[in-house]
Amino acid sequence: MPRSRITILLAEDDDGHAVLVERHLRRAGVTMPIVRARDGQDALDYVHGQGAHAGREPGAPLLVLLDIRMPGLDGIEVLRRLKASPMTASIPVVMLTTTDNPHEVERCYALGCNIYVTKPVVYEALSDALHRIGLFLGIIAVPGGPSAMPAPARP
Amino acid sequence: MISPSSILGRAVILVTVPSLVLIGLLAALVIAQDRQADAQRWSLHTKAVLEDAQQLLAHLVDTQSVVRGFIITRDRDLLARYHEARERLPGTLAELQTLTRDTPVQHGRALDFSRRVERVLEHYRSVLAAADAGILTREAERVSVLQGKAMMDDLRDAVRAFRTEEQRLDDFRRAALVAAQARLLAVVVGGTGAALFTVLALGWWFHRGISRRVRLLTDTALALANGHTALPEGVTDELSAVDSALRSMAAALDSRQRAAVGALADAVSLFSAAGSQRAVLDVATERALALSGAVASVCTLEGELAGTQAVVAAAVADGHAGSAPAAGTPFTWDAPRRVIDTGRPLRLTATERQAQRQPPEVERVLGTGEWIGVPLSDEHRTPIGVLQVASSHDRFFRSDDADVIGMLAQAASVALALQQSRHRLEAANADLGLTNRENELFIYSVSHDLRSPLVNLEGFSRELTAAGERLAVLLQAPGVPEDTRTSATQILDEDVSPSLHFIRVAVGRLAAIIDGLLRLSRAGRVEYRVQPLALEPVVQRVVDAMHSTLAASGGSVHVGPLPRLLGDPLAVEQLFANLIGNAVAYGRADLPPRVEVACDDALAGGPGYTVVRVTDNGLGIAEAQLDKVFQPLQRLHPGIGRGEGMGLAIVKRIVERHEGRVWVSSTIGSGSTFYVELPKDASGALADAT
Repeated sequence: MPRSRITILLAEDDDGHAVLVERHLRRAGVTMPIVRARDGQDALDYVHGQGAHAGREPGAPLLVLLDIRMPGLDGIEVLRRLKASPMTASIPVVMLTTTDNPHEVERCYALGCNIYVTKPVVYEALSDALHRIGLFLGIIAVPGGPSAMPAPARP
Repeated sequence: MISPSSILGRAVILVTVPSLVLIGLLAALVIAQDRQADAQRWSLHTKAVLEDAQQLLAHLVDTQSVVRGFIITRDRDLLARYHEARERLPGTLAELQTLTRDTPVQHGRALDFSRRVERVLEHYRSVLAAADAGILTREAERVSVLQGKAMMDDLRDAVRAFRTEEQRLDDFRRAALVAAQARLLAVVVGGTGAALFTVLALGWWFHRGISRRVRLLTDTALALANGHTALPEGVTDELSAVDSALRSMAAALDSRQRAAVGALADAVSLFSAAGSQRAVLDVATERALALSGAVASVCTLEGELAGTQAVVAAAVADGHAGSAPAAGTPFTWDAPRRVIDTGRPLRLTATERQAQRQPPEVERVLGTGEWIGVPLSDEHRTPIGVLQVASSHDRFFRSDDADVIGMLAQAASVALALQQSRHRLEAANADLGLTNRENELFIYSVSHDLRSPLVNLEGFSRELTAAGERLAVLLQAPGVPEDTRTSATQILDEDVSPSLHFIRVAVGRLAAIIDGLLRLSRAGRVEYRVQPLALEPVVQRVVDAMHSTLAASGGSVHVGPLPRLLGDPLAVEQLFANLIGNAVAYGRADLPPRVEVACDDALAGGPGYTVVRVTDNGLGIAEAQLDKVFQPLQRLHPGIGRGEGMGLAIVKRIVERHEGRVWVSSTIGSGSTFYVELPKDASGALADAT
């Protein structure tokens, strides 16, 4: 596995959402490994290679998909801590959440998130949004090597 | 010159006329008395004359009888008696002449007597001489005696005539005297009567003149007291000073009343401008000084402890020795206690104050002069405090000062009550706003929590649908037994597909409701940037955005001249997008929608507000539903449009947050008009509307 291969960290407390997000990303042709964190602390542990994720190399390329409403540390706090530390500030963060409050959107951008995606309830909209993220992630992955080419959706 | 109509004139007449009458009466009396004395003198005079005449006669008779005796007896002694009688005669004659000097006839007779007596005496002398000489014969003797007798008879007749005449004169004078006495009586009685009558008549005349003046003055005083402008004619004489004093007193009272009313009106307007209870009481103390000329004025309110009072506001006049006490300091003494207990004003003289137990602080602030205390009340008219004013020690309050201060305190009480209710209202509003915000926060978080499972429902029903489609494809593969394919296809088509359809419709509906709730909560929570705003371009933008919908239905929106507002541009745009969107969406099937947006300021509830109406020719709203239209999740025309019944609830929330009003009038079948009242931009400064 090339060293430049990006891992996607999906921080999402809702199992259903996690499954749906992963499926749509795969359908959109995202082939990068997707790691699931169940809450904010879990996500930070993964990033820093601590706790349950001790042993993971902290500097490995990473992209974080963050839900905002999570028990314990919420997405905003995770975002704030990631961007506050120079070690992790360069990690791209996509906020993926049901909150479309303009205040919250503004706050996330102010804290340094790269993309803010509202999880629409209506299927097509959600699907479209995740598809766009998938394409975006695919494009990022392209320079990484042939394996980053969009793959056909899994059956 | 004294006018007879003046009081002095009348008084002079009242004194002079009866005096003149009395003087006349006196004069008449004196004259009458004089005459009576005269008559009496005359009467005495007559007696004297008669006596003298009688004496004369007696002397003559003596002479005669002596002469005769001598002739007969030649007794020389008789001659002595003759001479004696003769000597008396001239005196008597002279006296008679003197007495009758005033009466010429009698005087003439008296002179005649003298001559006759002379002749008789001459005769006697010759007879006596002859007898003495002895030459007298018997014959001569007889002749001379007869001669003497005749002469004496003549004389006696003359004396008798004289006496008769004198008697007649006496009778006449006596009658004159009686007449004079009768006249005197008449003068006394008549004069006294006339004097009495004159005094009475003049007294009545004087009284009438005075009472007319008093009536005029009384009328003037009453007319002034009643504030009539048409005053009776003035009094011009000595009482005109009283009249003008009355008028100037009325004018002074009037101007004082005007000043008091003006000052009270000032106080009322200051009260209404006051922003707090403290400010109200500051105005009250300051006005109380100006209104009553007091040197110190203190407003006290009941303290925490029953029966205690504390200073809330105080003011002292320039030049007052004491200084105003600090707010919050205790100011408890008996007199204000009584005002609170009775709820009535109280006035104490300096002496009465001395009898009170006053703390040194009270005496320091209020001095030692007169004191007036009037109650301050709350909205239930329960006394809660006292407005106290004190005069300087050398000055008294006027009688109406207590009333004026009382009115001031009443106005202050009303202002206090208004302040209190305003505080309560503000607190209630704040509570309401808090409740609204809490509700909105609750709706917001509940909606978000609901969205999470919905994402799963929607996502996995979609997954199931996709899986079903893939199953249907697999069933068409060769090698699938025919009966299996048939029954499996039947299950998929008749059970799975419709079930999934219903699930997805329900999810879509739930999602729409949740979105609506979120929009509503956001309408309440989102921060507004209120700014001057031209409404017309905002509305025009809304209409432009609906271009395709309008083109499809053949509808039109007419936008009249619209005012400038103070509002949040995004919220105002959302508001009119909802109203105009509804007006177009709920049109009648047979009629292209016609919508009018116009300004109708005549309906505005205040000068700072403007009213914009949105009128349509659509379906209209049933009267029973009019009060529900602004409630969330109320759909009045199910089956038409795609809304979740949130639009008008959001409109109401936006309007409320602009401190405006929204209402609707509608006739079912012919259309509705929505009225929106929003704050007007009075500054004229217009920010860029975009």
